[in-house]
Order: sequence, then C-alpha cells, then structure tokens
Amino acid sequence: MKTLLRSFTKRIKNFLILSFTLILSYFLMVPEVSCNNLFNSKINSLNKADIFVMGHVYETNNETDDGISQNLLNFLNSQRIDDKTVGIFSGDLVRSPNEISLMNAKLQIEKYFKTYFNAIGNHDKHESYSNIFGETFFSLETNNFLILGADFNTNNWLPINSDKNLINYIIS
Amino acid sequence: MLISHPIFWLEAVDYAVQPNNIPDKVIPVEDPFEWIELGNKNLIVISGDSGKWGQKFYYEEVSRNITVISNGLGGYSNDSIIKIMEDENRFTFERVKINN
Repeated sequence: MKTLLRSFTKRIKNFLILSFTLILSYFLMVPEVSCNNLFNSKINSLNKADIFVMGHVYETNNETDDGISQNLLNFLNSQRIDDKTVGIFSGDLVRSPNEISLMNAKLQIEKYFKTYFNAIGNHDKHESYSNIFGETFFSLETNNFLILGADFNTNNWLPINSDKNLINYIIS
Repeated sequence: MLISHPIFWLEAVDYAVQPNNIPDKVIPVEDPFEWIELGNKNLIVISGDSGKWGQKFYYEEVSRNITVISNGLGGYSNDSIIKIMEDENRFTFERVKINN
C-alpha cells in the first residue's frame, strides 16, 4: 500500500513539473507583445460578410457640418446593409476632433453598421476617442480575410512596437 | 488585409501617390513592409488619407504578395468606396462610385 502511495505521489509530482514546464515554455515562446493588448484583443469573426471600406469620410462640401459626408450617407441609404455588413473606416471621420463631433460620427455610423472599425486618422485624434470608439487596434476574421487596423499616425507612419508585435503575432 | 489612415507605403511606390497631408514631423520609412512577418501570405493594404485634392483611386502590386490601395472621399463626383463581397469560398473587390 505504501509503495503504491509513493508511486502515485511521484506521478503527481512529475505531472506537476511537466505542466509547469509547458506553461513556462509557452510564455517564453510568445513574442514581446503588450500584455494589455494581447489579453484585451479579441479577433472578431464573421462568415460571408460584405465589407464596405471607406476613407476620409468627413463632410468636405459644408464646413459647418462636422459629421460624415452627406454623399456617403445618401449612398449608404441606397445600399442593402444587414447585420452581417461590416463598415471599415480608414480614418478621418470628422474634420475637427472633439467629443461632440466624434460622438455624432459614432451615432451616424451605428445607424448603418452593427459591426464597424476605424483606423484612426489624424483628424480623429482627441483625448475622448478611446472612450467613444474603444481601442485603436482592431482585428476581424472572415471566411477569406484577416483584417487588421492600427494607429499609424506616428513620426514614421508605422504602428508603435506593441501594435507591430500584435499584428505579427496574429498573422502568424 | 491591413487598414491604415496614412499612406505609410509612399516610399514603396516612389511617391507616385499624393496623400492628403504629410505632417512636418513625419518621415516615411524607406522599407515600410520590413517589419511585417508575412511569410508566404498575401497582404492587401488599404489606406484612406486620400481624396481631398481629387486624387484618383490608386492601386499597385508593390511585390509578389503585397498590394497597396489608397482611396478616400473628397466631395468630388468620382468619389468611391471599396466594397468586398464574400461567401464561403470566394470574394470580389469592387470600387463603387458613391455619387451615381
């Protein structure tokens, strides 16, 4: 009985050592990625999505209107958009960034798209941006694509290192 | 697919496309794709800082597996967006004029 117990204890010990080693090696193999980003970023996923990619969408014909281009809104009104249609904005939702204009843009977008993302533009930069739109990094996986977006408004127009690492981690 | 606002790949196309704006402090890097570990995967980059000066839709394959696109609205009659339609096995890219 004693021998059996000793053998069982030894097996448990070996199992614990092996598990610890595996967990440790997993974390050592993960590239340097901001923990905050790694654990907070989820890859959204959709099947058979229709995707609208729209850039520099603020109203340019009327300087007093600080929202989304009326021409674009008219176009979206004419489209068949359902819950599976994704809106991808490649930045500059508003002309002058402030809490009101960004919130207004958000409400305009959400009238059309349940799922949408914005690769932040220089005109969107404001302290309230993240509170309104969430993280500037985004990822979406569809049947055919992995779509990634980040803040490229840096001094060399490349994402910050943690976003670069995150992009490489996801595409790997 | 990678979405950015700035046309960070200007150097890769020898400035063949004009961005809406290049801030004074910005120096675009010579090899803008050096940091991406693509392997054999294909990359399509879509950048939106375009259109303000009437720039046309721009599309170029800068290497075997990297394609760049710039497109944005500017209040012009030929303003367009990109519509991607996909089902389980295939997808189509379409440039759609919004003012028709």
